[in-house]
Amino acid sequence: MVLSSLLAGLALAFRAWDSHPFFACRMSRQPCSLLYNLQASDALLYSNLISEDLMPIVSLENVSKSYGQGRSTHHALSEINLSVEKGVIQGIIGFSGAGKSTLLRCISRLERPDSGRVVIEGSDLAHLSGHELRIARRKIGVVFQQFHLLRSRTVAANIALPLEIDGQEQVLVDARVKELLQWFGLEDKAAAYPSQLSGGQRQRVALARALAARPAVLLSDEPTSALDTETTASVLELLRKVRDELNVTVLLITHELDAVRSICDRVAVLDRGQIVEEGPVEEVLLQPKSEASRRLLGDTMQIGRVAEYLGGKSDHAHSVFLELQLLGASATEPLLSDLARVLDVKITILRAEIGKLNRSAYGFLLVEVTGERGVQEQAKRMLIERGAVVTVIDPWSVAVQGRGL
Amino acid sequence: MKTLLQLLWEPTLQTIWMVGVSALLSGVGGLVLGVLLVTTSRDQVLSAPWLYRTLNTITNIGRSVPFIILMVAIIPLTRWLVGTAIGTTAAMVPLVIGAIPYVGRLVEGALREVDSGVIEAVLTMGATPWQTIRKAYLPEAVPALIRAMTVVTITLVSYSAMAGAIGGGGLGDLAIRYGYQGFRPDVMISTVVVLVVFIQVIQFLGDALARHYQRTEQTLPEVGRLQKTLWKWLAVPLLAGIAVLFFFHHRGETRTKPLRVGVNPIPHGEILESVLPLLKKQGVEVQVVYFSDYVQPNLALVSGDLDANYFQHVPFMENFNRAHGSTVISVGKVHIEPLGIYAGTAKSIRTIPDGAVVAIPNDPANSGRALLLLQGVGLIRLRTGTAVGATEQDIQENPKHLRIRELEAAQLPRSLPDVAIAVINMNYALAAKLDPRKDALELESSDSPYANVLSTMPAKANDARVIALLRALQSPEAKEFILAKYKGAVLPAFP
Repeated sequence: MVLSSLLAGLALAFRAWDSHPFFACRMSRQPCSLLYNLQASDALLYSNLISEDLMPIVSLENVSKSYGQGRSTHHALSEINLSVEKGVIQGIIGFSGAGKSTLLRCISRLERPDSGRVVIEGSDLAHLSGHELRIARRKIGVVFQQFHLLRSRTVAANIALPLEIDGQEQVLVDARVKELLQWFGLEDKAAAYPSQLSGGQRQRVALARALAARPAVLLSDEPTSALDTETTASVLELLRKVRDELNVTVLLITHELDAVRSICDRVAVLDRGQIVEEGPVEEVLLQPKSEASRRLLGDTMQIGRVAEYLGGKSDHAHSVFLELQLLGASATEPLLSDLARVLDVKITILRAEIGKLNRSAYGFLLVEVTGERGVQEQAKRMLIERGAVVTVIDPWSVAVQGRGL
Repeated sequence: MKTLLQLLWEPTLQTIWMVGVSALLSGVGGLVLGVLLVTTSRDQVLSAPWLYRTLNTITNIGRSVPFIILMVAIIPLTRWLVGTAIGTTAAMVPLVIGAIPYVGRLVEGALREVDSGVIEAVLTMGATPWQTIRKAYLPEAVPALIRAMTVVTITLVSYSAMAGAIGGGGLGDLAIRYGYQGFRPDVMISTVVVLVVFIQVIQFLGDALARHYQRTEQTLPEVGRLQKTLWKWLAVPLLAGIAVLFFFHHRGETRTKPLRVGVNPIPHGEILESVLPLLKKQGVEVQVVYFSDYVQPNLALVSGDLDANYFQHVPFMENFNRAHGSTVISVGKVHIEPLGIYAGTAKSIRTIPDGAVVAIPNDPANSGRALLLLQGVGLIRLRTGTAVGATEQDIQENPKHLRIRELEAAQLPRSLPDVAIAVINMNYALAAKLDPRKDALELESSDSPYANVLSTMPAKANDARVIALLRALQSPEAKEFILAKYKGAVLPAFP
């Protein structure tokens, strides 16, 4: 009796939650029992916080790598430390030249780091060689920007390659290949050659190949950079599905903010060979602490261009310009209309974007608030109370500084 | 006279056999070399810089040695490998060894074109170096490798022409021997036609195969399947046919052990061929090995690859013996080919103008002989005491200030329009369709020391078959053949 009422209560609470527009989209993806849904969403929500296995699956410790000698030494990576826990999609973002490729090459041991440890599931790849290294490498699957499929092999034979290299019996290889072809929806392409496939299909084959030998970690090096927008979205969705259903930890190395935004749980920002910031994706993207992150996340709103149509600064003497970042519930609340009702201010929206960050909604607004100075201050306080992150900006000086990428 | 078809048949088989086997063997060797060149270079799967440098140097050396020199230089190796240094099979050894560095470089190029990202992808799967080579490098490079082998095979066809120098036969040799030296344009042209067809076929097959393995949009969907079945229908009988051909050809070469006699084609070869029926009646099987130069027949005789040769006169033989410390001996004189002075721009010896150009052969034995002949007609006077080995330096008086030009013997008939007179060996004069009795201003007298002899090594001088051969060459039948065929331009040098 107590239990059933509790369940009913939970169900009610959940339904209310479910009806919320932000969650609705997510829930509709899993048409199972309510209870299962709850548990599943629970696990997903807190996957960053509650992990079955607290030991990181990938752990980089003081990894350094430089090229050249003497004066011309180029420190591609210095003292990289990064832990990735099981089941996490970890983004690594940086400008080109930041050291992303070197980092990937060090993790996959295509390059040996000068110093430090690269520990994957307990074995340190940086200090292995020969047979042991080859065995350890099989714990990692890698997908590349340019796919790197063997053009001489059919789709099925490409997927079978890691298993052949592993020396598995033909029967097992065939069964596994069939399974993967099905999972990736490639059954009808089994006998095709890579040159007959589209970019998105090739990347799916590359993913299937990378996962064939059941690696614990999937390294993806700019997997969507060679693809168009639509295909990019489907490949990213596939990466998430790989994590969710195959329980593979994913390292996504990219320069595309969108990729990080749409699937990463955590992100590390790489700049000039160093990790300058690391944390949950919401934190890093919305409240970047380092100068490099700010530069990288940059001017997605193109605030600098606002000044072009605002006219002269003197026309806006009674205005303050606010950049608002809203995350979660506050993103979808009628914040600005509340503000205008309560205070004696005029509010002009100059830029606005509402979207999804990993699985949360976020809003990004640039508004002009016109009114008495005291009222301007009140407005700011109220916005902060309602959960917005508020930054006062000066569009004219932004334009001069050339803020942005 | 053999018909054109008969003439072409044997050399065609020889060329197929030589080129086919050499392409196969040098393909295997070059593949190994090329794979090593790629994989041992820095940062590659078998990275071993010192080994790479060594292989690289050896390859460069191998590629810089001219083929004809390589062919002579490795004679001991050839003999050790195939038991003889002359003949078609022996020609394959230098062909293979000469081609391996070339194939190696082409294979290296083909493998380096394989996307390094693909190799890295395979390495991240935990592949061993061998797996990387077998599963990635080679299969990915197949179209490029096929194209490389097409180039190699075609190159081998033209290299095999030089095999004539060691009696290897083949189409190229036929073209040089009968066409170029023998002045039979019909043979030359038809040989070249056969060679063109050859190369067309090789190029076509190579292109088709490469396209088939390209796995690109154009070649794949339906066409790919069609080609596959077509190949199955074509490849099996083609390969079987070649195999059968090789088998019979090879068997024919190794089964019998005839008396091997080296000759120049004209007139030695023709005279020898005319007495073959006679010898056959006596049970003596003779294999006539044609040479297009004057050094190899003696080298082959000394090394035991020939039992006898018949192409030289005694002064030349002695010259060779001195130079090589060998003991080639003469068994008996067969014929004399009088050296002749032939008219170029001058119509008679008397009307040769002052300062005129006179062409003579450039090989030492014949140039001395030519100078002696010029002295005989009073054009020059040599230092007293000089005889057979005379050189230009021995000219003491040259009243007409003649400018002596030494040319390759085979080239002399062609030089006639450019010189006042030329001293030409009889064989080349005959081959150039010159009539010695009409066109020669002067011929050597019949008591010349330059009679052509049958030569052998001392150990074989008493071999019954060699004696039978000499008897046949000095038989009345031979005499009749010589007189009838050469109409006095070649004279029997036996009673």
